Amino acid sequence: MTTAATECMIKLYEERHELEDYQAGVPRWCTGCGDNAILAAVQRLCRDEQLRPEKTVFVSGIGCSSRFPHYMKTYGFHGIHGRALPVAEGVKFARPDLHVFVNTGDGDCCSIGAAHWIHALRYNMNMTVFLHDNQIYGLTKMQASPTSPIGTKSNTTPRGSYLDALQPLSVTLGVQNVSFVAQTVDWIPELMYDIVKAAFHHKGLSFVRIVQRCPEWLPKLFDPFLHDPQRILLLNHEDGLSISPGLAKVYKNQERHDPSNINRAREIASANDPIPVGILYRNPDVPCYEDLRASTVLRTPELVRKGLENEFDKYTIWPQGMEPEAQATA
Amino acid sequence: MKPITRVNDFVVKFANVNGSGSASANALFARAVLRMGVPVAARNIFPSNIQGLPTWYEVRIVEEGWRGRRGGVDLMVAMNPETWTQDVAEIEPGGYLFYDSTRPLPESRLRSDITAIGMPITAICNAEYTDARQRQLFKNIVYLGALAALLSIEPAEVEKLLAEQYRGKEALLDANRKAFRMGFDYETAHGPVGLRIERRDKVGNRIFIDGNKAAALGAVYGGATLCAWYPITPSSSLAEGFIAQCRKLRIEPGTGKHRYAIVQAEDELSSIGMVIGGAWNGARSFTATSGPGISLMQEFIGLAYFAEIPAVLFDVQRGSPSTGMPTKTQQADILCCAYASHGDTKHVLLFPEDPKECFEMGAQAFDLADRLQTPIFVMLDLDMGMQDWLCEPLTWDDSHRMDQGKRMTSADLEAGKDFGRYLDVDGDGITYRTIPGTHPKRGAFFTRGTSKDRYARYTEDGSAYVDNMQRLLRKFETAKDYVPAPVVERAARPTRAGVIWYGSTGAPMQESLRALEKLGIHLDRMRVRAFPFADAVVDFIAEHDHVFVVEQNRDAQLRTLLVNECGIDPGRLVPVLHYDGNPLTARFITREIAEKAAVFNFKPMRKVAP
Ligand SMILES: Cc1ncc(C[n+]2csc(CCOP(=O)(O)OP(=O)(O)O)c2C)c(N)n1
Ligand code: SF4
Ligand SMILES: [Mg+2]
Repeated sequence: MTTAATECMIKLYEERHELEDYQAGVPRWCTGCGDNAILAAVQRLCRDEQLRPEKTVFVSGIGCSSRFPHYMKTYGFHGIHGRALPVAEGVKFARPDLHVFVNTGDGDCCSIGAAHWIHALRYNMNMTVFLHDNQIYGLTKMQASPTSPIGTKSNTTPRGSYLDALQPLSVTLGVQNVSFVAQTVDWIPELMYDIVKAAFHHKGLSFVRIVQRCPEWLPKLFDPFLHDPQRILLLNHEDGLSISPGLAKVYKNQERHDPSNINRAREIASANDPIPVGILYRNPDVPCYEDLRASTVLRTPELVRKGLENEFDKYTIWPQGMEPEAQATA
Repeated sequence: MKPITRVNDFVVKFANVNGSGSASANALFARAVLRMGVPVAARNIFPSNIQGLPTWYEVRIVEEGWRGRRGGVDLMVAMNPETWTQDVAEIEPGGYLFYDSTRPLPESRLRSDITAIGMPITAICNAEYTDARQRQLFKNIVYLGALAALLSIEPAEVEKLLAEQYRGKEALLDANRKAFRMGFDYETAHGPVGLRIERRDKVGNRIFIDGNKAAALGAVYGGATLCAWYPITPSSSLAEGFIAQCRKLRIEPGTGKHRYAIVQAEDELSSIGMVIGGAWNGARSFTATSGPGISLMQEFIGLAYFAEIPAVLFDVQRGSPSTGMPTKTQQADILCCAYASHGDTKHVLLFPEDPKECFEMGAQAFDLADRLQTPIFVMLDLDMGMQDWLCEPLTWDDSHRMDQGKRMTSADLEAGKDFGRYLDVDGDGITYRTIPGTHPKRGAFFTRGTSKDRYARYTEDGSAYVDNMQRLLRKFETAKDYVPAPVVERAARPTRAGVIWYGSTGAPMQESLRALEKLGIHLDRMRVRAFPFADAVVDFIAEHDHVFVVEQNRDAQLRTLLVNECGIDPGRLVPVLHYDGNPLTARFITREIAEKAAVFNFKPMRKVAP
């Protein structure tokens, strides 16, 4: 059967994706796991933005959080531990037209994958990165992670972890070319959605740290923050988040923060209590690596053929006009 | 169908949901059988997920003491609705199904050739407990009580175990005892089934331990003081076991100072780097990891080989390649460890067969590393590493002194002895080293991964490079004298056929050999315990027309290593391969060997049971 071009356009136009079109199976995370909330927000984003499932890719490493792509009815790439970002970069290089998302855990990103993290920020390719930061190794059953608060008792640190937690936002904000940094918590759906959406709309690498609960291994860690809204600091600004009146009633602890102010962003990032929630930094002017590397000349087949021929000519022993027979007749 | 009747020889399998608290009740079941003097082979089958997915616990009750899986199930304790169909299908004809009958099941969901025993466990627990968590947890203890009644386990043994487990927590103990009694009394009223456990004295002084814990103890006894690692299933419990032991055994009396350092590094690359740095200083250092970690460590392993730095690596192998089947077992890292890193490299591998040897080789590896100044791989796998195995008690010879290998002492240097870090003084390929701080003026040397001469000076001179590479080969020859020798056992009758295996494959092997004998197939046997292969391995193969090589990987990796390293005609080595991730069974080995033996026509064959 053939479809006329106009009809095809109409069909495309009419095609509407519902939430189910992005949902693949029942998530196998523990009850109350913060990853469930992240999934819900991201599926909603896909629906609201009407992302074409066949042009959307979720890339992850290994960990509970890295199971995320399993539950998205889009393309998914469950890679190896710590290496989601290089894979995502490769995808983006080859197909800049795809929507690329990355799901990574605090072990995946900040421990084994730390080198890739720094360099991904430098590349600033257009993708959205979610750091599911539960401050513990979930899948391998409770070992301390670099973001575990000092004193965390775990299977590897039975007397409490020794080092101060690494603050992923501070690290991110310290890297050249950083262009979008935000933070949210898994238990305020409205903010999670707004931030995920802002991240998606930013051109460049958007880095979203999500403070994520792991009821299995650290069941009480965030209770004080859940019970006391004052221990959440909402960042509002006309260039950042605007807080709904409903939320503002509950979360009174707010700060007006201009996301272009990187110095203030760094100060905010270094505080853990209250937990800052909002857009810490945004700079739309940082170029994306894929754009920097794009050719300025239109690559016509003729141009490519000429280039190749010139290249091959370099290796000839007898340049044109210098062949033995040509010399003999000369 | 006549219901199965058997005493002390059957398989019970528990089908549970991950995270439902069943693990401890199931372990209690296995221990209660052991306390009745009857050996068990027990295995957890679990997914790579924290909660919600199915898990199984398989207990083979076996008076003969076989340690492998048997295959098939005689009694299924089906507590997971999600896997019901598959679980019911797995029961042998004439077997039994124990299930929660709170909600009545249609006939169609059962089988006519098995005996179904329903017990309204949820209803009983809901009536007894109000707390949701208790309702869930005590279900497990209630079915434990029921099974004790059905299988004639002495309730006193379970109660003793409960008392040990909840010592000092009287309230918990009482609650557990009560739940156990509820289940026991309910099923006592319904009478026992055809499967029975009778008291014997077949356990003796054997212990029930997993290989990771045993290997961790081996590291303690082997004198390890530095452990750098990165969590990965199924090796994490090895490092975690070392942490637990060191906290008890390695604290300096009086000062409370730690005599050890354990670091969860940022990844495996860093781990092996730390190990190499520590070992270079003379500290006994190790890492514990699994295949993906070994892959990451490759470049460093080459450095340790070429710069000749001791290091111990415990590789607890899992289902590969890549993330593969992280909670399943395989022996598929043999080649990747034997030849780890780029260039011409070869490494010493040790193959423990059970937790007892995990302990012994775990300790011995440190002597070998210092003696041979090279990385030593201890090759465990998930099956022996994470499952409790019944094995001989761990023993230690207190007269054993650490072999620190060849070291130049301060006195040697003072006396003006010629020190060349890579100078083969004794002709065995092993050279002398110094530890930083040995002497104020002499004996310092430069460690590098680039090529060097006998005095550790940088050189790109081809003959110096070849000289060094040849010496490394000599050293590898020397290693044959130090590594654990293969274990040979002759068949009851003279035979032209043999079988070779290593590691956890030994668990079903003895049982299979017995079955093969009954079929008239007699095989000489050799258990390989290390690479490089001793000359006895080559001799063994030479003595036989055909030698089966049984292993748990797709590509016959040990066989490849034998062919490659010993110049053996591949046609003589017949691969028997099992690699679906589950521990292999005697049934499988027997069938494979019998079929292949028929082709080779070793002897007239009788028909083999499937
Ligand atoms: C090379 C390698 N090393 C180790 C592992 C084992 N491993 C799997 S997930 C994980 C850490 C998980 O923690 P995190 O990244 O915080 O994710 P979470 O499970 O908490 O979501 C580890 C160590 C692996 N798969 N590969
Ligand atoms: S272990 Fe923690 S992170 Fe993993 S699924 Fe459970 S709650 Fe979530
Ligand atoms: Mg984590």
